[in-house]
Amino acid sequence: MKRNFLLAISFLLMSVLAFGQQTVTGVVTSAEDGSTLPGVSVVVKGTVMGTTTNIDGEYSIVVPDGYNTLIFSFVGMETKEVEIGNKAVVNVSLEPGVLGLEEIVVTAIGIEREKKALGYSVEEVGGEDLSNTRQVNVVDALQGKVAGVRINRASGDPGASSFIEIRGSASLTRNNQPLFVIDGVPIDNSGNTGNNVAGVAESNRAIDINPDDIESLTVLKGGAATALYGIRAANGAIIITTKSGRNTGGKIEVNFRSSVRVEQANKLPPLQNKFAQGTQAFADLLAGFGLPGTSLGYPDQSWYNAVSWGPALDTLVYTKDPNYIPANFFPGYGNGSSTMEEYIAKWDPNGRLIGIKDAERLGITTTGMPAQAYDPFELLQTGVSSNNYLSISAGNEKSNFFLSYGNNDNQGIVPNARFTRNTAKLAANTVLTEKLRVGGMINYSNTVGNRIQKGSNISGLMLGLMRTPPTFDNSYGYQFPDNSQRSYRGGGGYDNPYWIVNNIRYKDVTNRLIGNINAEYNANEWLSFFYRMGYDGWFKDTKSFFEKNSNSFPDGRLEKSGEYNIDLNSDIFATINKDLNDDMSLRIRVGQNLYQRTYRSTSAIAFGLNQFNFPNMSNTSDARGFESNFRKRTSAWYGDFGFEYQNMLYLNLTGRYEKSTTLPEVNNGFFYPSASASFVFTELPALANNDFLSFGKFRISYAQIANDAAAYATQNYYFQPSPGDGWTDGLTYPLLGVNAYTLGNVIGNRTLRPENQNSFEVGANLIFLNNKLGVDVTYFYNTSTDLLLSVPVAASSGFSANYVNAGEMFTRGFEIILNATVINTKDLRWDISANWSNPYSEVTKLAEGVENVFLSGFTEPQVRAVVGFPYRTLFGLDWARDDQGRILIDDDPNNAIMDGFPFSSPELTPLGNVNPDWIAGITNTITYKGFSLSALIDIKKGGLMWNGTKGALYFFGAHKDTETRGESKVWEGVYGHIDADGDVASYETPFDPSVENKGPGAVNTTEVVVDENWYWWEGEGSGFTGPSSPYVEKAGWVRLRTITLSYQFNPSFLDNSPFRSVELYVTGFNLWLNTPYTGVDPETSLVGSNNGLGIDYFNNPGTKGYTFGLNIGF
Amino acid sequence: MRNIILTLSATALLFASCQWIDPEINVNPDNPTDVSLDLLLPGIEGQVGYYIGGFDVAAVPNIWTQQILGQDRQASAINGYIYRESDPNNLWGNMYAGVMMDLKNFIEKAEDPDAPSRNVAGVGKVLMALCLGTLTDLFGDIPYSEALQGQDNLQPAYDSQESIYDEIFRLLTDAIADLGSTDPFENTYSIENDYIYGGNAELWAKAAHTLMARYNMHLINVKTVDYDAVIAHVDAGIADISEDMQQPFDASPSAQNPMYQYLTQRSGYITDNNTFVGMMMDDTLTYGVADPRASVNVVDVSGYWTSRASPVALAQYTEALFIKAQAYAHKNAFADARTTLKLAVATSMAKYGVGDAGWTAAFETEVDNTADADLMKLIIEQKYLHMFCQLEAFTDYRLYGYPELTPVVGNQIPRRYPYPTSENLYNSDNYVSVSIFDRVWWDQ
Repeated sequence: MKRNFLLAISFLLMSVLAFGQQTVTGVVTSAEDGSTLPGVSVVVKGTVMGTTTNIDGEYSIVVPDGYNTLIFSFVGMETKEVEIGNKAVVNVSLEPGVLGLEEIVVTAIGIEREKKALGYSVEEVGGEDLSNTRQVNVVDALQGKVAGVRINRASGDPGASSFIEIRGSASLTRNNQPLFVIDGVPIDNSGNTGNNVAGVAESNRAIDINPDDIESLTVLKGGAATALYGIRAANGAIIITTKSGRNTGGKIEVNFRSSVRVEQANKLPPLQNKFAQGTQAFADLLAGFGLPGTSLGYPDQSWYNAVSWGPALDTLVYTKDPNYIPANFFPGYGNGSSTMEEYIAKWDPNGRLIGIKDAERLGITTTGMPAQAYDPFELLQTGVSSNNYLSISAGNEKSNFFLSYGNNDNQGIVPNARFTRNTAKLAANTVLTEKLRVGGMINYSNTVGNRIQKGSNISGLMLGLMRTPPTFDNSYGYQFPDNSQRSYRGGGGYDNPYWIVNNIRYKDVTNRLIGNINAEYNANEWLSFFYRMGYDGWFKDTKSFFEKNSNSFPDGRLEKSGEYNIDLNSDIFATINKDLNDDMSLRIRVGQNLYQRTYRSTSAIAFGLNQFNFPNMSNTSDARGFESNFRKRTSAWYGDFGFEYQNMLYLNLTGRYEKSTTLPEVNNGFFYPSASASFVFTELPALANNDFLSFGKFRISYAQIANDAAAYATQNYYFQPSPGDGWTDGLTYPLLGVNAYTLGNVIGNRTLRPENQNSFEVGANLIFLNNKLGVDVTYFYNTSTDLLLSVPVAASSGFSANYVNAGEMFTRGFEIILNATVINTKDLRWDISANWSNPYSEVTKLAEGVENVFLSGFTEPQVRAVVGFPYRTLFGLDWARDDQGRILIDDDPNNAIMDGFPFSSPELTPLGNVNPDWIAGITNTITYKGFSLSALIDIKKGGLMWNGTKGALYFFGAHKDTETRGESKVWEGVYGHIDADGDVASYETPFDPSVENKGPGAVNTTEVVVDENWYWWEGEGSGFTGPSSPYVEKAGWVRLRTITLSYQFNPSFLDNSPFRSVELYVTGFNLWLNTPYTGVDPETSLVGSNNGLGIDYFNNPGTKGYTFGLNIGF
Repeated sequence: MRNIILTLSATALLFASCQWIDPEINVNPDNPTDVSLDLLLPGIEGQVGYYIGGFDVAAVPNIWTQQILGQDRQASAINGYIYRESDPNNLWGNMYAGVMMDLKNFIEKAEDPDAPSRNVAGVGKVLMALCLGTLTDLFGDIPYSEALQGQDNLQPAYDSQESIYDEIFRLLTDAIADLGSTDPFENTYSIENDYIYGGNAELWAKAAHTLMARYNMHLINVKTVDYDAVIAHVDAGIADISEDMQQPFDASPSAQNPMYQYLTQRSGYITDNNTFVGMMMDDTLTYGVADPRASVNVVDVSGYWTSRASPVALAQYTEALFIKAQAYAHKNAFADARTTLKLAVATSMAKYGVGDAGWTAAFETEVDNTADADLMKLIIEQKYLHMFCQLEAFTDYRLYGYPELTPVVGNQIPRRYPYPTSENLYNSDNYVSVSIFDRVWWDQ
């Protein structure tokens, strides 16, 4: 059977090749100045045969019999079709295009269309623009470049994931990130999408793409743009075209790029360095034993000394006097005592700290050395990274290939944090017959992440680091000879950051193959067929290891997992392109798509390791195995109908009928249409050829898109129990040798429907003064209905959630793009391109009885979706207030609240919107001869972030702000308390409970001392003990995202060298950042690429730095 | 030729796409849709043990009874009587959606007319009664008659605590009858995976009697309690410390005792409380030597109830003896009360594997010298010392006011939990706001 098929194919090929042919040659020139144009694409219409012009603008092409038209196209020029007749020489001159509007852009399903024909907004970013940012992650490379696209990198950790969202959010709980498509094949960009407030900063899988391999990238924003992709592109699509070979007349082209980056933390939370470990409460306790004003007891590793509320450093000196052991001077205090010799060896080479006055009173000899503050951030280092890239390509008029290799090695600012990526790519195309072209691409990547624990995690790097009192030197050692841990709480509490970077390891290795094979068959001048089979498979091996004596897992923990994810994608379509007459043409496409995603993982978790420093499963005594399997398929038929009239009116209609396995069988098929139109009014005779308005277009579009459900949500399942109470790790089954199952907590739903999105867009594109100024304005309004959400239900129903179609939300906003050429002379050119957008997403409906949907965070605060509020609103506790919003100052001496201080309200209240008001990017590029200076200013206006780090550091007395401890203050507010009825009430005379009135009292005038009692011991002055609202901060920014100075050697200078081109550059990133946020760089997210942005809790810091690089072409 | 190939491919594709969307693909390969009773019970028991023996039930109420000192972070807030709606969220969710939903399925499956097992159903009812008792003693009125119905009732109404108690008694009465059944047609199969009693119906029936005694005694302030019946339940109940109803744990890291996990994973949050320690060390109670239990009832990983592999007690022989002593004292049968108290304390020593002849002699003298009017105080204080990390210590404090405690802040000690945030948000039809200083129905 197979042989017969091959025979048939060969026969078919031979029969085609037997046709007659003629050779046509010619020169292509520019109509503007008559110069020859190299690299112009020349294609025989109705065939797959094509070539490009050589360096002198010359081409030569074989034209089979029966074909009579050549198509000439070139970036920035108007495409031209020329009849050959019986000429052997065809010379052509091309007209310049208007600001790239004649340019071909890649739209959905790989359909190439003229930009001016589109009834919706797309934006294209060139490969050079991406790779010049020198970002490792292609998502980060888009920062500030595209209107309406919001990107947020989780942290400065190497390989950390980045969240990307186009035109706000359309789904409440499902993925809000766009579909990534490489050379027509949709690929997986999954990342850590849970509310993972601890762990490590994982990567989003788009990081496997090497930006150096990208030829161009198109951002499809609205529904009409992505409707043909179906459900997976409900949030927009990023269409990436990678580099491929071209006709070089057989000559081999080699490109080499190399760069080095150095980076440092760009912003760190301020820490206090004036007060020692310990507490005033302890000193007070000792004073009760007749040791007034003492600092004894400092700073042994006793349980009290988790905090930095100890004596001022300038009252302390070091002693090495062997007689000084606090236990000898305070009988009840023996915890953590050791001899002076041991103390010096274990804790501080300078000796033990003692109050200057205590030393005098007790007759202790001091070294005279005053207490010093150590800098815990000394742990951070300068990160050094390198990137090398080599590509080789060649081609002739029949075949071409492209081969590349890239190596990227990133050392972070945290020791042992590292991300490396190796990529190799091969693309080849060949024309088998005049009608049949086949091609393929294969892209291999190997990424390795060595990652550091972060966040709300007692093994989190910044958590242990920043809570360390200034008098404890973490760097003096993190491990004792008996392998126990050295940390400021005597080994307990949190991990020493040096222990974390050395003894807690997380490594993931991902091997990935992305590829496609495709074939194009042109039946005649107006009918063609296309088939493409795409493959995207990643294989990931992860090992996570907590050494014994880590505080998270005192017995140690080892997890090893192997995962793979394979996406298969098949597309077949037929295209009809037909000119009806001189004015009208039709374009019809009918296609079919099949998609399958398969995910499998196998993992083992071992609790408890035996031998120290041997992270291997064989070194455990209690290992458990797990597996996870997932499969889903979709199938779709689609049609695309395009109509064009006089290059002026364009109309496009699409429809897609899709089925998905994740929906119940009765509801699993759904249809959605789109319509878009554009009107190039400058083609009207009255407006043609005017110098002021060179080009003008209105566009309008409407689309429906649907999104399927999460898999396996249609019925109830049993799960292995994992009892835990929120305080502890809990139990794992099999327990005591017996396995068990428990009914899942989510109610299975047999009536699920697809999510729906209606997308409306209108826009105009105007170009003035012969390309000097371009303006593109878009307004969009998207509504989403039937949004699926796991609706929390009262646990008393026996379940914790119900997965239903219930939510509704809308997103609206403007996008403005501005391009201007300020100066354009022979040597000097100054371009400005700017974009601005203000997507706003609001929740309009949730399920009945559900007031909110949790997106991320903690018990308090939380990022939520709530009806009537912007999507991603922070909810948390606030100070208790009266009706007028004035803060209540406690006037009740009988309650547990500190008198004269504010206190927390009992319920979570909205604290503000996490999303920015607007975002903008402004790029200025000045080129002078070979020099080019380009700067991108990135602006995010508004948007809140919970600075949980600050709230916690207040508790510990470690934050710089707590240096004012002991100062008096009158809180702004009114006297009051909450009475027995739960109402605001106050006493006739503050603090005298004899007469109680409803409502607030007078304005507070009571002066109180703000000290450790307020922040730590009794009061609500910290994020741990009090409400979150004081730590919700504005997190907007204006930053110099990148600034690049490059020099391109003049080609004539290189004539006698082996080099075709040489470029040198230096790029600075994040060199300047202006933000009101007081924590780390506000471009951060505790939960990685999850929907719930806006949470900072001991996040690892962001970075700034420079890249030095060299690009050479041979 | 070409057309034939095209037609063929198109047909093949069409055919493929029909098979492509196969509903079987959406059946989760990782999770079963039904499991046997023998696989449900170990999950239920492990969860019951972990939740009832964990911080939320074993420790929080006993921070308030001053058995334990909360000294850091959330535990220090609880120590200062700051206990918000968000605090009991996990407990409530775990008990309802975790344990009780499984228990409901478990009992229904065991009562399946086609394959009944009354003995197995009885085990489920004992555990359900225990879960209800634990929740109602902390929260007062709770949903039950309308609860655990999933999609059919997402906002179940609350039943009064009185009717919950009726339900507890009904479940236990049924359980005793079920567990007594020996008819092979009513017991078509048995279970083996039972951590607590290894599937022994007789022992489960004893546990049911002991729980009957416990929950009857909770109603002394609101009902006329039949003390003779209570004594009869004690006598029919757990009869030896070897028969204590306990969930075992293990030293392996994934099976460790919940309080041990709290102490090691929330290092420094809680420690010994001077009130509790003082009662064991105080001269007036120690009779010359320290209470031998001072070495085991400690907030430390070396404690009897707080070490790696410590079990979690759900009902104990010793507790039953204290209940019996209470019943005698209520009946004014003081001689029997004294005898039973002595036996209870001796059993307590045996349970903890400690004991001191001198201390015991001195204590027994103290029992004999205590006036009848003060005997209940002595019983409850001894019970308080025995019932370390048990919810009953908090219940007894609310019932009797012993031991006499001084509030840490303000002038009152919390008497209940607030309803969790999840009820406030998602069962808003029925949720009521309460203060932790309010009293539940039986606490009058």
